[in-house]
Amino acid sequence: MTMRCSVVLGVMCEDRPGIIEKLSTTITAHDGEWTDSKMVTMAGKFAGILLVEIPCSEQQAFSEAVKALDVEGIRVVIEQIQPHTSPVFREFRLEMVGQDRSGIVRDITHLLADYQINLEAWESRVESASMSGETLFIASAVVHVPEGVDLALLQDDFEELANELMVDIKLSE
Amino acid sequence: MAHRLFRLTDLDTQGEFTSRHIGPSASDQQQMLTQLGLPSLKALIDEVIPGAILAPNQLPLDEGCSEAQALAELRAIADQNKVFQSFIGQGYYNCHTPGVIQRNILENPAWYTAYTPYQPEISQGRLEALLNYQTLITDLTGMDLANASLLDEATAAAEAMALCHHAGKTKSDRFFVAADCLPQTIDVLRTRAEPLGIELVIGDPLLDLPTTDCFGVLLQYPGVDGAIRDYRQMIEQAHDKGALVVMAADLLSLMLIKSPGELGADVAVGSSQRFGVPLGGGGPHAAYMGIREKLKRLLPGRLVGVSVDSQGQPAYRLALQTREQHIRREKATSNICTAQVLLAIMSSMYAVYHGPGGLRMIAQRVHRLTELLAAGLRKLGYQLGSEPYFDTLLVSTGEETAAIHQAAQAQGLNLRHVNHAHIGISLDETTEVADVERLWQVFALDKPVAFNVAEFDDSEPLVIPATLQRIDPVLTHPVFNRYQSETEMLRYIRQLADKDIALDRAMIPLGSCTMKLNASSEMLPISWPEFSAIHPFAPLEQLEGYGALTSSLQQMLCAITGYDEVSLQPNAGSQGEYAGLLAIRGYHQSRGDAQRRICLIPTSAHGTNPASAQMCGLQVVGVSCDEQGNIDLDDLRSKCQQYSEQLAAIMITYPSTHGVFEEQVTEVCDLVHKHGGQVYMDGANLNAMVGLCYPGRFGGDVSHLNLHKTFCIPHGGGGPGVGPIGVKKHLAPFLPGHGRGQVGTEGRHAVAAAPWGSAGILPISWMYIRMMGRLGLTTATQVAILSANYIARRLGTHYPILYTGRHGRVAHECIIDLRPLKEATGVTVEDIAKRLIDFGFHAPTMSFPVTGTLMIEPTESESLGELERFCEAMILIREEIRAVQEGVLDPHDNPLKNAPHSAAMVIADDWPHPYSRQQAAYPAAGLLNRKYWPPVGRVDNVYGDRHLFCSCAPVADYDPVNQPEQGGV
Repeated sequence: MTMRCSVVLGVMCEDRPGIIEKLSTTITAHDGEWTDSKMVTMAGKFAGILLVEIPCSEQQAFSEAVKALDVEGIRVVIEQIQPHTSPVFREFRLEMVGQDRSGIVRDITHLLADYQINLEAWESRVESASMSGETLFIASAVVHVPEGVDLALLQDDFEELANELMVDIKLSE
Repeated sequence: MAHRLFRLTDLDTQGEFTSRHIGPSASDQQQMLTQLGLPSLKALIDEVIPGAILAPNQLPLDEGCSEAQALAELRAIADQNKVFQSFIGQGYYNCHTPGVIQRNILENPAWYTAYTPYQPEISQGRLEALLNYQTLITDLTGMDLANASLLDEATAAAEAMALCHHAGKTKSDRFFVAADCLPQTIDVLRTRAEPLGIELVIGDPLLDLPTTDCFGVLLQYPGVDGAIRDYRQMIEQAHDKGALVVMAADLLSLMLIKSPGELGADVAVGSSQRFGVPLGGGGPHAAYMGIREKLKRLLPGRLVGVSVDSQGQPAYRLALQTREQHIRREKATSNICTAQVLLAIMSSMYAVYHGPGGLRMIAQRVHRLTELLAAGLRKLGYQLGSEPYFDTLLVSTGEETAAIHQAAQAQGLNLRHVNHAHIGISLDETTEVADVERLWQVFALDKPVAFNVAEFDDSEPLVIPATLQRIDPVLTHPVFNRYQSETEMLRYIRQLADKDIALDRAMIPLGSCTMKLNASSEMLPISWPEFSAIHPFAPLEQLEGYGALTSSLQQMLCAITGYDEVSLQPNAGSQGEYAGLLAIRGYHQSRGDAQRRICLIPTSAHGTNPASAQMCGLQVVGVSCDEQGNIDLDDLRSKCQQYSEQLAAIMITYPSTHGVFEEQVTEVCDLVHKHGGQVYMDGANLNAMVGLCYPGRFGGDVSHLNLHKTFCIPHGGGGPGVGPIGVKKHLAPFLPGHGRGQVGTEGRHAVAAAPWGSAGILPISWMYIRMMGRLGLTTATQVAILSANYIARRLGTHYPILYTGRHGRVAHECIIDLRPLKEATGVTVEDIAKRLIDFGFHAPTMSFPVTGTLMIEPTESESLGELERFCEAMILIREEIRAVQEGVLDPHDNPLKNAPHSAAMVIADDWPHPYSRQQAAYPAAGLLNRKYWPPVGRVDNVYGDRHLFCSCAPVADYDPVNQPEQGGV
């Protein structure tokens, strides 16, 4: 049996019909398998991230093939996944609400990185608060927290980011 | 022309008050109806209220009467109360309300008709007074931070228990309560603990605490029997096991004894009633909570903080709002919304007026008189409880107990019934030397008393040991040291009041709160001693007036709501919700349905609903709303089916928070009933229903009423509120009860410290209902709906109206949608709200229930002229938005973005803006005669968050020499 390798593709282009078809054709052509993906369109752009399994022997050729899509306006970044034992982590849901201010998302993601926490999903919005009308920042995230992280400490550090930031951390069911 | 003959029947005064209360005259109403294309009020109501629920009959109440007649009737009721001198104590003390505070705050509409200070620019006066309150509390308790009031000491202790439970580092669900806590506090703790799965352990902290695992501890300081204990070691022990310690402390005693902070407590709670607020038969009074800094995110209630305005000048605002239930919903630790602002302000002003020297003198006088009273009682042969004490003595009276109580009654004195062999006596600010001598005589029974106070005063030593004496300075801030002359005090109060917009200046068109007239005649009786000087635990035979008042008011409220019974105990809307849900919970449990714990709440509900449900141990499940803002019936059906066995209740607001009478309300109620659930109908919008339809008849099982919305109790700048609940018969056995004061309800749970909650302000609602009568109340509702529809019509051509009913009508409020305008121009709901200040108006409710909108409720009390003035302002603002859109005004530097414009901004030598000063400050012609100047520019919320500062600004800021150039705080 041939050794199979996992690669992740990052895709970005103008949104138009046929992008997925182009990608899947290329993958199939190299005996690859499309195992997981997330795609969105925003402001007329298409962006996607794909997990693909291919025979390790095909890796080089596949890499060149997807890069060649560039001439069709589809930019692809390809990354190989190192086989490794995944660290022990627990999945949590973070709910945040606080006063909006510039740089808050950067500060939050910075803090997550400091704790070696992986951001699995992220949604945020800004809206006018009931009654007082002030501008609120509201975010929810799913994160993978390595074993041994002190959650109380993490929450304190989070809430220090902004004086009004309320953070709830809940273990995902 | 000869005079026509008027018969007395033509000249009666029945409807006299109605025309004072309702703003638009009959001809104005006709004009408004014509604009709406309608022939009559009845035709309007037929279009607004679904036929299925519209009541065919008139309100079953008496006709109205004149102000003079209602006052005379109430006078007769008041006279049934007997005003005895109280030595009962137990958390309630006589005090002298300084005349300058009574007349200029308690009885001044500039203070009592204001709204909660969500709009900081027009609330700087009351925000400063509240900041003084927070400073008073942090100083006296030795804590880092204090909120701007809770409802009463008992619920404050319960809030503290919940706070400790959330913050706790232990896995324990036990809360230790010292046995010498106030009994009414223990009662409320029992109520609150059970649904949260908290076990109360009541014991002696010295003996029992070492062997009890718990997440928190409550200590009373001084204890109910007067003893002051040095708790330092016990607090350390509690901390060692990971528990937090709450001290319920008497504020006046803290002038003389070490603060809870110094003893090591994490939280301090208590009542500030004895700082100048009358007894009022139990309330309203402000309770306080002080905490350590680390607990700030769990602090319930309002917190005032210092920030800066658009000009970099210090300005006050409500801080840490993201803790509160209107944002955190079921995740909030507390459901408290309206608190006791007016009373907190009175107490803070009491401290400002007396200053630290005056307060210490009052405390020392009370304490000295207690020492002398003790000396005499000992001389009479009585054994006293443990020392030291502050103002309360426990006297061992053995077999003489009943005789002594009898002798006291004969003298017009009330003592505290402890048990068959002990009597409690508490002295207070009003106690005189002669009172001590009278007390001796009572305790001497028939024997002569052969000594006097002066003899002991020379010899009696101090009882408070040095280890417990307070020596750190308190209230050193200038605000507590510069207004001790009445002239200065009067001007300080006036200066603060002048900074604010209350109903005495302009309409407050809030959609989330009914800001109607609070008539002077309704307010007068609350100052009568027969209502205000009554201790809540006075013997029942002295409270016959309160008994008559409350049962009359209960009957009126039953008639208005269609419910069978009413409890007046909940002292705020939030407490009413809590009590109502507890009744539902009790009902299910009594039927063996304890598993019914799901509470359905539409997504449009006020945040208090989910927060209350959470406190009752219910699990909140959201029900979505459709595009018209109505409950999505399909979603409701599927949720009802899914949770059929667990369904406890649905909480709905009617008419909806979107301001619409949902056609399907009976269907919603039937569906929930079919699945075994109860219907909680939030009474926040009752002002749209009085006299026209009855929640108790079209499907509601229980509702709370906001007497401070629908029934004229003034909002007080954020309290007092009163939140009675009405229930159908099957829920009546589960209404709140009280260990004292309500015969037959002793076994039931209490939700407030006092049996009738805030009894002292119930006369306001009684007066309103009595004067309006059935016709007046019904007309008021009709006109409230007319005025809302008139505004919707006037503004509808300029702004989109978000939700309307079947005939394109709104109920008693309307929502204007500003999201499209924001998309097109960048002008936000906040810009419009702040621009309204330049026109002299308080903004409508912002972003509730829908973000990016304004909700307007004019009420029946605003005249057509005032409605027009408001509409004109909104239309002129729309013109300004259009000018931004068309490029006539700069998108970033325009009157909307820079609003509000303070006098300092407009008169500055440098005017860098591309529009005129006149447009900034006088955008409407009528303003030349009645300009309101906001004292600050737009308040910067973010600065305040980043630099949380919640007590009076540092002294340096008051010193012109050291004034920082940028006006920083």
